[in-house]
Amino acid sequence: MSDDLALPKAALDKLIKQHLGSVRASSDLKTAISACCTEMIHMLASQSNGIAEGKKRKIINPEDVIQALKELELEQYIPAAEASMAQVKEAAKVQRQRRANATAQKKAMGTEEMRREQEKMLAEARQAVQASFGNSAPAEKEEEQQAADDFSLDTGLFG
Amino acid sequence: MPRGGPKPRFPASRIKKIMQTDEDVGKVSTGTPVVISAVLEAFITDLLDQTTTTHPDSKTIGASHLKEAVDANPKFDFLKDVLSNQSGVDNQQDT
Repeated sequence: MSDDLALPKAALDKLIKQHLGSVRASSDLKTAISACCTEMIHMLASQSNGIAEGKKRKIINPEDVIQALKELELEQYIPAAEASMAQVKEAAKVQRQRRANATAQKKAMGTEEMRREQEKMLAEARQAVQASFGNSAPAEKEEEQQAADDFSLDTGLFG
Repeated sequence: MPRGGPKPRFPASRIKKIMQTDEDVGKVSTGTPVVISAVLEAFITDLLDQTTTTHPDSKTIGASHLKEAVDANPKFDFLKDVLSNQSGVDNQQDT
């Protein structure tokens, strides 16, 4: 089962082609490199797992991988690993900040929106009341009463 | 900001699956397969460079060329077994 998993062929082929340029890679070379990669992953996984366990941690992290490279005498790949780790940490930081900003914004907008809604409702209510009482001469009490009733039914403000 | 080079990054999910075929390997942080992907890029580049320098005139390089490079470099000792299992390793040559 473990032998069936390998890196996706397309991604690997692309990387090989990009690096070789005009030099061609035979298909058995690509297969061989894929096998080497799988082997490398197993080695790193096993070594860094041991390192994490030794530190009483249950989750393997990038620092463990870098330590593994040292122990496996593959120091030449440490710069690449460290550059990647720095990117990962930076991306995590940016994401945390974005989330914090979004939460803060939501909270602020919540209060603000509520206030706006309230003001809108009050303004509408005021207008409606003025329309019934203010403009027309206080002639028909029935009409006014009707308007007021309608109004209060509609908005439930006074209800 | 310098990256590991152009885009070919390997999928973190695949790397994680390969890691976890080892029963002892438990949980893996999300950043770990990403870092391993970067290591693999550097590794593949290294392998290819070693192979082409031992065969600078080849227009096509094959698994046998790689095998030679691996045999010539002690740092690649861990690959000897893997390559000896590859079929057709001895047959391919540039035409």
